[in-house]
Amino acid sequence: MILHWSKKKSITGNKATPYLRSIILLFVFYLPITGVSQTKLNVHGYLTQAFAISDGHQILGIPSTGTSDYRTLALQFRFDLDEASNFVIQLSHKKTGKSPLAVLEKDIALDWAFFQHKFSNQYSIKVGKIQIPFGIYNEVRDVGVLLPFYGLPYAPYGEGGYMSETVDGLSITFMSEDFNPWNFEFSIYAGHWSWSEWFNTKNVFSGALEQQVGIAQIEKGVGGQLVLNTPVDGLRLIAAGQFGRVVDGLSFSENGILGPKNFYDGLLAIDADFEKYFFRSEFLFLALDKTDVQVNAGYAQAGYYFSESFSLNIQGEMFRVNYLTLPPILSKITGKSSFSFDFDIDYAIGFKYNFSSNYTLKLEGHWNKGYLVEEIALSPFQEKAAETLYSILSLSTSF
Amino acid sequence: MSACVAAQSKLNIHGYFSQAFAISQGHQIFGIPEQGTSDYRTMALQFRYDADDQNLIIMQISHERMGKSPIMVLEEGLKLDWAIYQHSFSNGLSFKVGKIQIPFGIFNEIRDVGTLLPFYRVPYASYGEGNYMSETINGISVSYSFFSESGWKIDFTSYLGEWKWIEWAARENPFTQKLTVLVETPQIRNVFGGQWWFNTPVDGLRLGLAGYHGDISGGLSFSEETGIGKENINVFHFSVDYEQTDFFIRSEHTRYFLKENDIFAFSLYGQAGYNIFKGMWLNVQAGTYKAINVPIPLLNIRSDIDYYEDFALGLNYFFSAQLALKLETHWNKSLIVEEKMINFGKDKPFGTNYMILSLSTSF
Amino acid sequence: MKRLVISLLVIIIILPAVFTIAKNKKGYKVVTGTSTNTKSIGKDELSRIFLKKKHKWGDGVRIFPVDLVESRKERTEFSKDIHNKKVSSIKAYWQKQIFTGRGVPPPEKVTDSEVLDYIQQHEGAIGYVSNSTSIENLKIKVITVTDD
Repeated sequence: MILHWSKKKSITGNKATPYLRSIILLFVFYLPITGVSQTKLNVHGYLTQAFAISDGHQILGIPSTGTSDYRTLALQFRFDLDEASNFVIQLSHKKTGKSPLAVLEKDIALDWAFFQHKFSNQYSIKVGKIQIPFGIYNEVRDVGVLLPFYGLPYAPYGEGGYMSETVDGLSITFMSEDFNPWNFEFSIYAGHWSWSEWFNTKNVFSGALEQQVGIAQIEKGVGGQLVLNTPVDGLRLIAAGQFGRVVDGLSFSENGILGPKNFYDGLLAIDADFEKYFFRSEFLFLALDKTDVQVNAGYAQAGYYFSESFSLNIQGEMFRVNYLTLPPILSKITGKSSFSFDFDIDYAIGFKYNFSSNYTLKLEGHWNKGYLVEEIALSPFQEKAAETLYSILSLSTSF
Repeated sequence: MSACVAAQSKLNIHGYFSQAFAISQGHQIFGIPEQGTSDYRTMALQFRYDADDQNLIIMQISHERMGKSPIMVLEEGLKLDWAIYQHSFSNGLSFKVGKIQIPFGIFNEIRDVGTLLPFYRVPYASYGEGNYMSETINGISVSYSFFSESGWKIDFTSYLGEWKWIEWAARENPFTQKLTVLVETPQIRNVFGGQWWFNTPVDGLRLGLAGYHGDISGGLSFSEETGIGKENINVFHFSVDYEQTDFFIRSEHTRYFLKENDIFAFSLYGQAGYNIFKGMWLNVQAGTYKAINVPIPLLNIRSDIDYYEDFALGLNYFFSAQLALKLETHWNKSLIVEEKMINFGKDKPFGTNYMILSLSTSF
Repeated sequence: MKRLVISLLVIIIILPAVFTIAKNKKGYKVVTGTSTNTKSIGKDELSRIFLKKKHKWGDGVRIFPVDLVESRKERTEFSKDIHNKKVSSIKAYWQKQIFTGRGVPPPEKVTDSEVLDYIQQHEGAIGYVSNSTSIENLKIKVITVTDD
């Protein structure tokens, strides 16, 4: 198998080293603690270790032989400079088995690094590598103790692809007073982020599988999110949107199938989390400028708490690509210029057992139909979607 | 240091750091070139959170530099050493999940902790250097101690999971004579292994027995295209560790069996140290590694390979238990020199001398 | 007769207090330092303090809430009374706050004496301890929690 890289990569893992050196210096040169001030440095972290296995195809890095190289971890250093200002660095580690995107994984990557200042209880600003507020889960993507399943719904969160956890830029947040039953939080952000892409193709001469991995860059990205907390305790509604120009990578380079494009997307979410059950649903719409290509992706998730410790969760998701441009040769054969298909459909059921707030065991099974399989080149233009069953057993902890 | 996070009194932070200058004569070995290098370092930061008496989370981040070693292409600025969740039951049984240290011999779990090692590096003969042995496993381990109250306490750990090795080989272009170094990572899957420690009534004396079984594939040696294909590996490891206040003697012997291709390898090392006067130690070490019945496809033969021999002498001065200065010299004959292509079956081991001066600290 | 009247008067005076104590009897009491200018606090305000949504007292002094650990029954009772939520829900809230970078929870102490030490060391601090814990000879006072 031959692995190809696209030229530009925005891997920021190497940038973690100077930050870690700074942290070490903070430890080495003792931080003075006065008699009245609280300790200024807080360290937190989470770890999820999993074993995953599929029944035939490799999907999301999970081979049919199983893998325990499946893990998420983060270490967060939060330094409160004063009442209104803080500095946060979060380092992370993620292993996704045999995923094609594993080549992009740094052993320790810089998740976030930002400075935050609160002008008041309502207004705050963040600058740096900051989490993108987008939907229910984007800011807590890998925090196993908070998630019903090991990973987020692929639709719409992807797995590093076509959505980013962070933006290198700036965000401004406004929060209404929370004693109002209808209170809200509004954030806007701007900056640069990236998407990761991968394709499998067959070498035209040898037929050998070639896996291509690339990173597309979102330039001049702008986005916003409104979270509305209703008078019903536990019920909130979310609306979010983004706009930017996507370049490079596999699809959006000058020679790519789509070329550089402006994109815009919007997301609507409902999050109902009550004492005995929860229900969540999100819907994403994404379009590329000057093309008809659209993505509709969404999921619904529900869970029932049999007790404080034990819950049963179910989830259904769908990721549909509409009006994807056909290659010229296929266009000639079929007489069509574009093509719509279901890229991913997934149904899941899982059990979650909380030993405590900080320790969680999950067992889940998924039935998947789509084009996410990784050990073969499956063309949506010519071939049917592949069906795969996969299971994940995971232990999550946090401190 | 941990006073800085006094509000989180369950969190403890520890670390270690070793910086070295190394120089060789004859050949480049372990990343040590003839012109010397100070790009030679190990460092780690460990975050340990004791949630309560039974639950523990450890994360260790590390950094390592090995001069001009071929394996540096895989070395990232920072890497995750361990990511462990440990739960202990009241009866003494405990388990660990995550990226956990492999209990294998005397040194595998403390490979890079300079203040605990007699020399800069653990004995290559049994422990390799990233190749053919791993410090950690992605999986689960279970530990228990038997006869804890008696003089014959037995500590047992069993583990299950997978890991990767690092392999490298230098290849010479026959037309240009230019050297290309290939580095790959074979995968060891379906691993099942264990470590027994028999603590004897003789104070400071313990005996160890370890082993593991796994399936290897990929890399340079174990891929279908470039190597001998997939293999089953069985490894057995024996340790004797006798440590007193003023001296120590250690020896370890390892046997490797590759079933499909009927290949056998063994290694042996001995190490001793004596406390000459307060803080000053004189250490000696000798090690060897030999492979038997290795297929050499280019020559269409099988051959026994004297892969590695090393004799070392070192002086350590401990300013304190947490600060040590070491000076060591090694006389080495091996096939792991790095600046030339090795023709297995034809080349005899190459002689190299090298020295390392290092300062190690821990907190 | 005189004794009967006096006895009746004593009963009349004491009885309401007995009923009040019985009605308000919780396993914990909310405490602050004697320098804090607060004698009573509403449940909602107290909840916001412990969720770090309110940061300063009326006189501008910074508030330092201190919790008990999850395993203490006083914590369970406090969480139910004041936050109207289970401890696990509050812990999940804090995990979201931490791992979205928005904030960190109040420190958690195992024993009442640790809570009292913390309050004495931090001006503006507020916590809660078991009703049976003595605060005599300490620069600490009990504040009343009122229904909103």
